[in-house]
Order: sequence, then structure tokens, then C-alpha cells
Amino acid sequence: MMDVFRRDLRFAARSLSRSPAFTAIAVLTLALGIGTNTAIFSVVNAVLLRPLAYREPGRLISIRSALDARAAQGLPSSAPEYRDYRREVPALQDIAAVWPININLTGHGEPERIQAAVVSTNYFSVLGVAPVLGRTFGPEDDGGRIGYVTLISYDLWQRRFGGRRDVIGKSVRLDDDPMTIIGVMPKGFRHPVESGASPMDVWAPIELANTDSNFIDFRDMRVFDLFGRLAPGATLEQASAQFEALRGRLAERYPDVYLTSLGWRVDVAPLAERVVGDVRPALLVLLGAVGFVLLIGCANVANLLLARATTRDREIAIRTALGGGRSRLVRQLLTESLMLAAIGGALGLALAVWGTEALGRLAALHLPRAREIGVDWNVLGFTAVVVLVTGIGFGLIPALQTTRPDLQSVLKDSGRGASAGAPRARVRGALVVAEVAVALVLLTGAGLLLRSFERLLAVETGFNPDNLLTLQVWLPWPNEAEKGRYFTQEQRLAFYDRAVEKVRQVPGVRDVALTSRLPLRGRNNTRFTIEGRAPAADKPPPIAEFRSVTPSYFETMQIAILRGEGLPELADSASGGTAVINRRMSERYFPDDDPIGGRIQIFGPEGPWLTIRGVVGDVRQIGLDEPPFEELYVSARSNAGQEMAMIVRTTGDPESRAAAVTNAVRSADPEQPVFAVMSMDRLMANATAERRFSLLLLTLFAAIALVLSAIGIYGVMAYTTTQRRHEIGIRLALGAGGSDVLRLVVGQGMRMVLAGLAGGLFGAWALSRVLSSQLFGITARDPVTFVTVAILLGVVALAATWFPAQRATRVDPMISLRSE
Amino acid sequence: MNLDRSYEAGPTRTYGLRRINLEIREGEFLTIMGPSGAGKSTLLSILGMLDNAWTGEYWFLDQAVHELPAKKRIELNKRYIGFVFQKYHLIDDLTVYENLEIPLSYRDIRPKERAAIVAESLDRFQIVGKKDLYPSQLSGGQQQLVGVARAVIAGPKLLLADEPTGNLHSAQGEEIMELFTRLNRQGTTIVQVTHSERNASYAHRTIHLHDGWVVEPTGQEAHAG
Repeated sequence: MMDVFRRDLRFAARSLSRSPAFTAIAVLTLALGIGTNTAIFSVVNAVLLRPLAYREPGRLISIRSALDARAAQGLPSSAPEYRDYRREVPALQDIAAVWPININLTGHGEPERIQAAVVSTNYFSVLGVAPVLGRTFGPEDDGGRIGYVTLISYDLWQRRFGGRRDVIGKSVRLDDDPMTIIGVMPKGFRHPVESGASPMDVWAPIELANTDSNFIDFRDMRVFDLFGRLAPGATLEQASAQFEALRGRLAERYPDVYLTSLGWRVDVAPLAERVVGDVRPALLVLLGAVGFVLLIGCANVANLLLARATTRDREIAIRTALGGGRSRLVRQLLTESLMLAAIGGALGLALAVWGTEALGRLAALHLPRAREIGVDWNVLGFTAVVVLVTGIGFGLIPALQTTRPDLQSVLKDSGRGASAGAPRARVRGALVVAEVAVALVLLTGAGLLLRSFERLLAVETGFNPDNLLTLQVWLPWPNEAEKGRYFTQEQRLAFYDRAVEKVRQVPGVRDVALTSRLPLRGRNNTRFTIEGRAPAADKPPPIAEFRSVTPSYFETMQIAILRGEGLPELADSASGGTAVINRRMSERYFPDDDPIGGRIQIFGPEGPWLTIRGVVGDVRQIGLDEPPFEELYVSARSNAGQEMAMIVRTTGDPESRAAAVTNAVRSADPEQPVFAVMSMDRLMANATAERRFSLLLLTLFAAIALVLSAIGIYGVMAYTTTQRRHEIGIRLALGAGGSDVLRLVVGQGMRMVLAGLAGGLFGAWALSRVLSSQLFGITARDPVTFVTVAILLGVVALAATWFPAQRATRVDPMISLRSE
Repeated sequence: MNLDRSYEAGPTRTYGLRRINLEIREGEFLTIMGPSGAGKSTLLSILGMLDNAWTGEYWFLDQAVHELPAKKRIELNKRYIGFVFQKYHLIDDLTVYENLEIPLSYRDIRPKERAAIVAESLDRFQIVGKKDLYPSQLSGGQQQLVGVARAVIAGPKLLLADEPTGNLHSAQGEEIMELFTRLNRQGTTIVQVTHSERNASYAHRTIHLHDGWVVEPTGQEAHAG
């Protein structure tokens, strides 16, 4: 048996090396197909399949709140809720709380803005991860507030402390608080839901077990991300039911917090699902796309094999005549195709290793677990299966076809072997139809994403993003805030004024403004009440996006002031402040009367009253794909927060001013890190990174599919035309002109193409739904896209049939006069 | 006609036909004979306007073919010339009916008219019963009958036949030659290439080719016509 296999292998190698051009084309096609599949699978493997790197990750669940009335999901929880859950949900063994924050790290080098997590002291035990150095938090670290001890990430340990083991016991300053390092987490340890771009570097403990003295202990102050560990034997459903029961009890106990009208509830889900977020459909679409690319590649190689079979009829006939059984011959031919697939697979794997690195970089901004993308045993196993399946997939039909020649005619007449021609031509035709159809499905997908993206980029942002530089500062907020350098409004304003003044002096700077949050950076809303309109008891209070900005903001951003005026230069007086609202808010809440001069109260019944001073244009605050919401601007002169973003309008390329502007801000406080320095263009590009990722890859795969199917059509037509040379010669001798021959060949090719296009349109129509969540501004069955891609593919296919047809017109009609 | 036909073969030039000085009168039945490689088929394809790589003069129905561009020559082929091949060269995937229709379809004849002409031809060649059969279902003689029917279906003035009976047994061959004689009597000029003295005898005149030259039967160079 082994001997037979070895002989088959030897013969396969010899046979492939005898046709180097065929082998090279087949191997490259397969490498492309298998390589793209392996690369995308490595992403799917890292993001969707690989278990989370915690102890018994299947028992970890995420706990989040939702407010149906606000259509808000995935909300954090408050400290009192955390305590209630721990006490009243027995299906959970334990729950950990995390408050992700940005924090300024000073001392030991340049000031740095890092991601930190303020966590309940059981955080590491719930995850089941131990530090590589030192210890995790214990009861002794409870300070009633944020404790003065910290664990640091492996990366930070390497980056700032050179991996020195004596780091334990050292002190770092986090937001001006001296914190003692008590442990270092292992390499690769990640907070479950951090985004790829900003890994957690520091963990600090917070005591949440006691109700007294906690500075964030309010039931509706929801800042904590919760995740729990199911008790042994408990299920997610049990936990969910217990949360549902608890919801009723809490609503009874605290009716003013859990308003029925808000529709508050608790959602539990496996933590792994929470980590993956909403990227699953996009990744599965990409996996499907590369599957299609591989299908097209297989169709091409099968076609090549079928064409090659014609030249092997004699060999196969002789082998059969000599007693080679069909199964024996099929096995030998399959050995050849498997060998092709294996070589293609090896090359594809190399391509994938390279591609995976590129994908990791490309996905780092938005894809969860992007850092884990790589080739592991799962990926290698996947590639091996793909090689096996493809090898048999593209080899079987040609092998079955090839081993069924009409012995008599092949052996008697060494001529054209007309016998096997017709079924093979049918199979080849069917393969072309299939690959055109599959290519059209892919092209439609890419087309839909492309048109969505175009629409997205064409969206009116409400401001002029050209020549804008953005950066962020966060003024330290130590544990004992009142002792901090920036505790009071005046202290903060003084810093911001200094910083703005310094930046103004930088050459090339035209305008400078501050805002509490940059556009496209997500929600930050506040509830409000309009004077004279009592809030309805059964409805949740209205909310608006809230931004605290300096008066120069509208001018710097070039946001149109539609009515009234902008914010005043002076701070709000004690008797009341001013606000500017956007057009949408004005139209929604003041449809019939002039909003100017109207008064609103923000932050609830105890909050300040503000007089509306002006109405400005709508801005996409939340994201390019989210329509403008009601927006409310107040003066930063009265509401200067710890965290502000600076917007600088420059005369030239804004990023060329980045260093000078950063230094200018730093000169206002050398201990102040300046971070997220980037042009508005880049910020907008980042905001669309996820779409860009899908678009880029799907377009790439569609382009490969287009090229492969063009090659496939060309190959089949070139081959068929060669086979038909004789017939074409006769036709020419019988009076056919060049155009007649052209029509004949192109007609034959285009009939297949049209059948493929029809099938593809139907397939795209049926599959378009899987993309709908990734589309913007068009429907999943956008007729323009469908028609455009069909025309594009039709034209490419026409070109692919045109060249063989052109060659056919040059057939020498004398061929028909000569004896064969 | 008075022409040469040569091929470039590397640095040297090989002549397929040399100083062919030949006149064929309308209504004539001419036989071309000669050994393999003498240039018979080449001469036939030049006569049929399928080969344009020659130099010299060729007058066809008072038109100077040598002055016509390739496109015009194809027009002449379409209007006036029919071909009969040794291996019949029927198109395998088409029925008898469809094979007969091909030359008409290349001559922009309307479908209705085409149907009438094909029906008439099927009738004339007594192959009505075979119209839906494929070439592979016909005997050699029947195939050649269809081949001839196809060659004359568009009413050519000149019928060129390359070894028309080469693949047939003698009785079938005779039938074809009788058919040619009848067509010739009805006014079709016929030029046939053959190895068979018997077939040659059906013609009015025979010329011999040898190594591209027209020669006397004794082997002397001659000027025909």
C-alpha cells in the first residue's frame, strides 16, 4: 500500500514538473486562495474561537444595564447595585467591578497618559489570574477610597522599569498620588474588554463592600463594568432569572431611581461574547468571502486540470488498456491534485503569516483581541483541512472525467479525441458559470461596503475638519482631590488659559478652542428641564449631548451660528449661566417659539439654570453614522473639567504643528501629559476604522475574485477556441467574416457569463442581508450597486472572452483544407 | 492568374507556388493533380480567396483580386465561391439542416428565405430524411453529399473541391463526380484537386503541379490556359 502511494507520489511529482507553467499557475492560484483563508481564519480564531485566557473562562459572564426608554444598552452599574447583585444573585459565585479610567503617570521618565482600571479587590481572583511578581490586592489594601497600591502590566514593567525585579515596593505617581507597586501581571494578561489601541497598564483597588464613606456611592452613578463568575453548576439562565427577580425588588425599594418609564433591566451574557462585541458578523462575512475566493480558485484549477486531461487521454487510455482500474487511476490523479494543494497550501501559509501580521496592525484600532492574532495549531489544522478538502474538491471531477475516455476512438485515432469533449466542455462551462456567480456575490458585497463608505465620508459633519489638530489633556485628580493642584475651577482655568495662550503663539496657529469632548468621540449627555414645562411623570426626562466649550469653539470649528450668538467671554454669573443649543434641539423643543432667551435647567433638579443665547448648526458628535442628536453647549469658563480636548486650526498641515503645539501645552505644566495628538482627518479616519477594515479586505478579496474569474473565463475560452480552430477554419472557408467568428466565440463565452451573472445576482440578493448591519445610507439590495458590479464583471468577462475570440479570427482557414 | 506564393522560413524564402500562369474559363471543369506537397491545396485556397500571401496577378470575374483588400476578397468568396473538403468538415455539433444553413447565415440572408433555400437544397440532394441527423449519424458518402450541398447552397459560380472523394469508396465517389458533372452542366465552374485519374477524367482539362510549378504531364514546364 505504502509502495503504491509512494509510486503515485513519484509519478505525481514527475507529471507536475513536466508541465511547469500549469503547475505554477495552479499553485499560485491555490496559494492565494488558501493563504487568504488561513489569514482570515487566524483572525477569527484569535477573536472568536480561542477561549479567553482566564481560569475556566466559560463560567465568566458580563453584567450590564440597559435603559429601554433611551435605547441604551451595555451600560455600566453603580456601587450600590454591585453590592445588591453580590448579595442577591446566588447563581454567581462572585462579581468583580472595574472602573476604567485614564490616568497620568509621572515619575520614572516622561509623563505619560495611560489606561488604568480601578477595580474591586476580588478582580484578579474572579478572573483567576495570578501575578508573575508580587501579589494581588487583599483586604489590607482597602482604603475606603482608591487604595495607594497598584499592580502594573508586564508591558509597563518592561517599558518603564526595564523589567527589574526590584520594582515591587517602588512608588509611581498616578494623578499625583504616590502609589506603591505590589505586583506585576503576567505577559499577555489583558483586561477582558479593553480596546486594542489602549491596553490597561495599571490596576488600583477600590473598596466597594461598605456603603459608608465611598465617594461614588450613588445608586444612579453607573461607572462600573461588572463581570461575574457563575457558581459551580449554575447556568447563565439561572443568573438571568435571578437578575430579573432582583429588578422587581429594586424597583420597589427605590422607585425614584428605577423609574418604570426608563425601562431599566440587567443583561447577562457570556463574557467571551461581550469581548467580541459586534465584530462577529463582519468577521464571518470576511471568512465567507475568502471561502468564495478559494471556490473560484478551485474552479480555475479544476478547469486547468480538465483542459490538461485532453492531452492525457492517450496516456489514460493506454493505462486502462493495460489493466489500470478506474479507482486506481482516479487515486493517482487525486494524488496529483493533493500535491498541488499541498504546495499551494505551504505557500499560502507563508502568505498568511505575513498577512496575519498586517491584519493585526490594521485591526489593532478596533478589533478586540487583535494582539492575539497569529498562527497557532488551530490555524495550522485549519490549513491542513483546507488543503485536503481543496485537493479533493478541485481534483475529483477532472479525475472522474479523465478516467472515462472512449478507448477505441482515442487509441484508434490520435486526433482530436472528440469523444470526451462534450461532457468536459459542459463541466468547464458549469465551472465558469459558478465562478462568475461567486465573483459577482463578492463584488456586490464589496460594492455595497464601498458605496456605504462613500456615503459615510460624504456625511455633513457640521464643522470644517480641514487643518484641524486635536489633542487631549487630563488634569490629575488625586485620591484626596482637594489637595490636588487642579481641584478648583480657577486652578483648572488658569492652566487652560496658559496653555491656550502658549499655543496661540505657535507659528501657523490660527485659532484655538477647548471642548469637554471631541466630535465623533461618543455620547456624553445630560438630562434637562425647560422652564415652565414640568416633566411628565410617566416619561423619562429629556436628554441632550452636553459639551463644555470655550467661546472660540464655534469659530475654530467653523460651526455655523444660526441664530442669536455664541458663548460669552466671561464666566457665568452667580445668578445664572448661558447655553447654546443646536438646530435639532431648537426644532424639537421650541418648534413654535424662539428659543433665544428661554431657560433650561441641567443636571437634575439641583442643577443650574441656563439662558439660551444662540442656536448653532448640528454636529455629528457621536459618530459619522449616527445622526446629530440634541446638543447643548455651555461655557468652559464656568465648567472647565479635568479632561478637556484642544482643537487648533492651523494654516497648513496640522500634523506638522503637532510637536510645537504639544510642547506649548507642556510648557504650561511640564508634568502634564498631552495625548491623542492627531489631525481631525485622522480622528475621523479612526472613527471609521472598523468599516475601513471590512471594506479594505472585502474589496481586496473581491478584486482577487474578479481577477481569478477573468483568468478562468480567459482560460476556458482560449482552450475552447484552440479546440475549435478546425471548426472555425471551416466556417471561415464557408464565408464567415472576422466579425462572424468574433460573435461566435464571444457569444459562447458571454452565454456562460450571463448565466453566471444571473446566478450571482440571485445569490447576492439572497446573501445581501448578512451585510446590512455594516451598511450606511443604502439598503442591502441597493440597485445601483447590483447593476454597477454586474456591468463591471460583465465588461471584464467580455474582455476575457474578447482576446481568445480575436485570436480565433486569425485562424488560417487553410487549416480546413489540409489533411490532419 | 499569374502569381507566386512563398513562405519565409528563417533567413530563406521557400516557394510554395512558382509562376502559376493559369486561366480558368467560366463554366469550365478543371482538375489539378500532383503529388503531396506540390501546392495543390495552396492553389485552391488562393483561388478561394482564403490565402492572401501571394504576389502577382489574379483576375476573378473581371475583378483584379490582387488590388483588392482582404475584406473585399472575403466578399468575393462569400458571393461566388463554394468549398468541398476531403474530410467533409461538417460541424459535429450541428444537424444536417444547420450545417446547410451556415453559409447562408454568413451571407445575411433572412431566416425565412434561408429556410426555403435549405428546404429546396435538401430536396434537390434527396436528403430531406436526414435533416435532423448529426454528421456522426451519417455514412461517409452521405456526409460528403451534405458537404457538396453545403458548398453549392449559396449558388456559387465557382466550386472548389479538395479531394472530394478521398474518403469515399468508389461507388460513393462516382455519385459525387456525377453530381459535379450535373452542377457543371448547370453552369457552375468547378476546380477539383484529386489523385484519382478516374475522377480527373470527369473534367474538361487537367493541370499538373510539381514542387509548386505547373508542369506538362511529361514533366516539362508549361503555361496552362
